[in-house]
Formats: sequence, C-alpha cells, structure tokens
Amino acid sequence: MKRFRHHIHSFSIVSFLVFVLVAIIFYQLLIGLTAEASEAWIHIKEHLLFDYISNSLLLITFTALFSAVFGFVGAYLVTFYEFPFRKNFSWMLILPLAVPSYIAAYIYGDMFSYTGVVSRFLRSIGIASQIDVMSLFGASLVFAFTLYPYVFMTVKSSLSKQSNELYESAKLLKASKVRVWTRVLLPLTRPALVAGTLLVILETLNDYGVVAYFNVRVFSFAIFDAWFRLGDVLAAIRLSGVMLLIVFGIVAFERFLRRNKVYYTLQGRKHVREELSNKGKILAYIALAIPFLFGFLIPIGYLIYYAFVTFEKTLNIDLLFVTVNTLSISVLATLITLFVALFVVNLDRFAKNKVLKRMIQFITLGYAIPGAVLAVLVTLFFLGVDRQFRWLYEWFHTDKNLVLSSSLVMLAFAYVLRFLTLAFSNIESTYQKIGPSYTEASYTLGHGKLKTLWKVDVPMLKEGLIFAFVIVFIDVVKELPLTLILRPTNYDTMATKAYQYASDEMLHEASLPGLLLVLVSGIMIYFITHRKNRRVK
Amino acid sequence: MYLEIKDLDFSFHDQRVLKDASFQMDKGEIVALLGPSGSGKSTFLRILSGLAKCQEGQIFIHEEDITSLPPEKRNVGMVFQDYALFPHMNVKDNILFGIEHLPRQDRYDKLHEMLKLTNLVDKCNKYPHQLSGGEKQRVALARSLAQNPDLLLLDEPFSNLDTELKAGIREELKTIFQTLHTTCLFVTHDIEDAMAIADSVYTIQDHKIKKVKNVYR
Repeated sequence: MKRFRHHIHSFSIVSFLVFVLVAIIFYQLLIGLTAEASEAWIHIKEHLLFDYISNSLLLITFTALFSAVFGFVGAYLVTFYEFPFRKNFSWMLILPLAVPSYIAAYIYGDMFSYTGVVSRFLRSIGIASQIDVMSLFGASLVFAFTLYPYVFMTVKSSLSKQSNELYESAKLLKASKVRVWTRVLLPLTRPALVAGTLLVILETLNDYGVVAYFNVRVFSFAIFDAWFRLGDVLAAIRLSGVMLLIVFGIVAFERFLRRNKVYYTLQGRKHVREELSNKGKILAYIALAIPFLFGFLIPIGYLIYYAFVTFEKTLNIDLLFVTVNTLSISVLATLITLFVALFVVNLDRFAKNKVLKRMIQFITLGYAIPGAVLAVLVTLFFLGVDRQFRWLYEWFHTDKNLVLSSSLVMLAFAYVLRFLTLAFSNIESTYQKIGPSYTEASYTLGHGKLKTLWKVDVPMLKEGLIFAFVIVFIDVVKELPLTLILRPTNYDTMATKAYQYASDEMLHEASLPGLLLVLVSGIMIYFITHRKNRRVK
Repeated sequence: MYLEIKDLDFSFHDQRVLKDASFQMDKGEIVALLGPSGSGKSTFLRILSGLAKCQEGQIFIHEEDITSLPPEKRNVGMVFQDYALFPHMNVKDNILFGIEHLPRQDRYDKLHEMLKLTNLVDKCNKYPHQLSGGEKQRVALARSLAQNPDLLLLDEPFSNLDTELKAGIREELKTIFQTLHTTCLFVTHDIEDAMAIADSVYTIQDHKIKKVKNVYR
C-alpha cells in the first residue's frame, strides 16, 4: 500500500484523467458501432463504401509517394551538397507547412478553372484543353506540395545526425553511387522517411477542406456527408469506425516496418558537402524550386494579390474579431496541450510498468484520429455531459440545455486531444537529449516532482517547449474539420472564414483571411527555423 | 549498523542484477564498490538513492526503513557520473538548489562553508560550461554535501578526469569526507581509486555484494 501511494502524484493524476476522457470517447464509438444499422448506413455500405475506401487509399498512396520524393530529394540535396543559397533552401523548404492544404486547393482550383489565369494563358497560346486539377490526382498533388515538409524535416534531421564516415567507408569499399544510395543511404534513412510520410498520410486523412472543394469522395467527406446532409450520426460513427481501422492498420504497418530494427547513430565527423557541378546546380535548383514554388510562392503570391484586390470588401471589424478568435483559442489550446503533455511525458519517462506504458500510448492516439471522427466522438461526449449536468443548469436558472456542447470548451478539448501527440513527441525527444540525470539530481537534492519540473526541467526544456508550442500552434490555427464542427454558432476563425468564402464561391474574398493564416504560421516557422541553433549549453 | 541492506532483489528487463544481496556500513565509513561496467554497481547506487525500486528487500539508514521512500525524502546525496550540474544555474545557485528550505542566513552560511571546503569561492558566479572537469566535480560534491546527507553516493567519480588531475582530487575528496565525517559509498572500475580513498572495498559477484579481502590479489 505504502509503495502504491508513491505512484499517486500530479503526473499520474493528470495522465489518468486524460486516459479516462480518451477511454470515454472511444466508448462512445463502440456504443455507436454496436447500435442497430440505420437505412443510411445500409445504403452507404452497399453503394458507396467501396468507393470511399478505394478513393482514400489511392489518395494517400499518391500523396505519400509525391511527398516522399519532394521531401527526400530536398533533404538529401541540402545535406550532402554545397551550392549557393543552400542554407536559404534548408529553411525555405519548410515554409509550405504554413499554407493549409485547403487554401492551396482553392487557389489552384481557381487558377486552373475555365476563367483562371492558367486556362486563359493556355487559350492565348492556342491550347484549348483545360487541365483538371479538381480530381483525386490533383488533390494528392496539392497535399504533397503543402505537406512534404514533414518528410523533409524528419529526413534532414536523420541525415544530419549520420556520420560521414559511413559514406566514406562505403566509397572506400568501392561501392558505386547507386550502391551507396540503395545499401547505405536509404536503409539508414528509412525510419525517418517512413515516420515523415506517416505524418503526411495522417494529415491527408484528416483533411476535409481539399476533398470537399475538389469533390473527392473519401472518408472525411463521407462522414460530413452522412452527418450533415443525411443527418445520420450512427452512419457517421460507423464510417468513423471503418476509417479508424484503416488508420490503425497504416500505423501498425509503419511499426511493422520498424520492427526489431535499431539504427545506431555513429558519433563521427559530420558531412563534408560536395561542391556541385554547374549542370548539377541547375538540376538541384529545379528539384528544390518545384516544391517551394507550388507549395509556397505561388499560393502566397495569389493570396497577396487578391487580398489587395478585395481588401475593401473583406477588411472590416469582423476580420478583427476573427483574428482575435483565432489567436486566443489557438494560444489557449496550445498552452493546455503543452501543460498536459509535460505531465504525461514525465509519467512516461520513469514508468517501468508495461500497463502504464500502454495507457500512455493510448492517451497519445489523438493525432491518428482524423478530425471528422474526433469531432463526432467529442460532440457525442459533450452532449452526454450536458445531459448529466442538466440539473445543475436548472439550478442556475438557465434555459439552456446545451451549455458545454455549445461552448468553446468543446473545441479546446478536441484540439488538446488531437494535438497532444505532437506536443508529447516533441517534449519527449527534448527530454531524451537532456537525459534523466538533471531531474534525478534534483530529486536526490530533496525536491519533489512539481518543483523539479518547474525549476529544473522547464528551463532546460525551454527550446523544446518553444518548438513544441510553435508546431502545435500552427496546427491548431490551420485546423479546419474540428473547428468547423465543434465551434459555437457564429464563432469564426481564419480557417473557417476562408472555408466559408470558398464554399460560397467567393474565392478571391477568401484571400485575406487565408493570407493572415499563412502569415501567422509562416512567421512562426521562420522564428523556429532561425532559433534552432540556440540550444542549452 | 548505520546503513543496512537486507536481501535485496533487483532485475532489469528479465536480467537479474541482485539476488538476496545484503550489505552494511558504519557511520563515517568510506566504501568503494569495485567492478567492471555492466556488473550492476550503478544500479545499486540508484536503488539506494530511490531512483530505482528494488523488487524485494529492505534498506535501513539509522534503523529507519527507507525502502519505499521517494528519492526526495531519503536524504541520500548523489554525485552523478556526468555531475548533472544544472546548466542554467551558476555555481552558487546549483549549490543553493538543495538547501532552499533552510532560512536565508543558514542557507548562505552553508553555501560559504561548502565553497570554502571545495575551494570554489572565486568560481561562485561561473556557469557549468565555464568550469574545468575537476571544478565541475567539486561543485557537484558541494551541492550534495550542502544538504548534510545521511549517505553520499558517488557514481564513477573519477571517470571524467585526466590522469594528472586524478591523484590530487582523490586526496581532496578523502580530506573532505574525513573533515565532514561523511558516510560515503562510491562505485569505480579502477582499483587505484578504490585503494586511494576507501576504508573497505566490495564487489558484486553472483548477484551478491561481497567484501574484497585482498584487493591486490
């Protein structure tokens, strides 16, 4: 009993509370899945489900492939070769992360439409045919151009940690360039490549804006359709169940690829970058410019131009409220997420118990759950909570039956659950770099868990916490499906405002909120990429 | 007996480290635990400090059972192999960190006593990255000693030091421990270290802690 008492502390209490909440959320899913099948579901199952599955799989396959190529080639070039502007490219290639995929989709949809700039240009040079980007293939390119930085960042980080001696010894062993690539470079980088691509896949499955605008019938589209058009929550839950099975299948496959493989990082000399020939330089610039151009430069140029053209209509007090809404909910949700993640990571750091480890893995599942699915489950949960608290609302003499489920609490809660994984993994990796001895030293010097966290861990984690803050903040600011479903009535963020304009066929008017969104995220990305080298000595 | 360990069991990842291990120390005694890397010496220190939990057995200091106490409640000091000096704090703040609960005057008296004892008075405002290996070790020692630990544990205290520095520091350490009458257990893989400071030398053999009778043999 005495030993058990020492397991009860702030870290375990917070983690357990989160675990219970996540467990209840999944319980809602189970209840929904076991309920009697509705007519809508029978119709979906017989006529539409196969298309949803095959479209989703095709979309993620193409997106994964394109992103892996853009991200890997970019990371390889800036790590192994020296050429003018190399340093600039190594942070500029991350900037497309600031452009939400749905904003890029509106832009390319408009540019390639019959009256768009590309089609008009093609007609002016005598080419009558129109390029149809509003297709599954076009959607996968839009995703790849805006999401490849996930692959770029993970692969670049992995490559820069590898010792140059590995490649030098391969060359001394008379391996050709192709052999060095296939036998050394790719196998060593594979875990990072797979991890980065997995993030791209999860983000693609989470999206609603692109697929709704391009009318690509994938799962998130189907869930929205079942819920809002057919008004059938149970069908939405069943679709969520099938979608989760696919997601967990993909995550399990990624783990299977990593099974029993330990990749040691040799502490050797860092890469000595090779100078590129003139022809090589041209090829490198083309390879680096394509993703940057389509992922950032064209979208930002379009947004600036149309924000300028339409600002008289769109720059109003409403936009100020939208900006304040976006920044305040994002900062609040990000801070709560970091706070919870700090506690959960700390429980995980010193946990030996397998059950506890599993519990923590379960807590951090959120990122794998697509926004539309999470939105369904969180709504059901809060409706249930409101039902339970009806007596309390009556006691306060309020007429409202739905207090929590019509408030920002529900949205913030969903953000925290979804992005806890991101904060967790970033804080965890910073802790791994620091090691446990500082924390342990503080314990042996008589300080408890909270004081150690505040006085030792937090100052030492500062850089990692800032990085985690920015990553989570950017994702919250850009998040569309969760915000669309869970926001209170008449509550708009930059993301929902841009979506609203676009879905009302006012694409040019969507530019100003879109531009603000990209600027906020872009400034944050610039800030962390230029802060990166400031580590605790 | 000042420190008494009874029938300690500890396994890590299904690998047995200690089995029915017992061990005793007197107050003011300096003991070296000698053995090669991976023999479980550091793990033993972690169990004593409370950073690792033993599966079976009991640990007593001054006849008080501390087995289930968390590290912050044991009053066992530890000097880590890499010293674990907080990089965002200077020497003074590192030392003060463990004695914050004392009244201000007592705290600063203790700080000055430790700085003087470890010969660090002129380094008090320096940060860890501005110190040499030997100085870092003295700060880590001062930080642990400042809280008057019932037992001081040192994990490979000489492994990060140059050979030339070692001899001088061994002497310094021994003088400090004798001055404060500190009960001290340190682990090392170097027999010379063990011989230079320790009153007695132990080793881990067959998952038990055994006294080495003739160290040179």
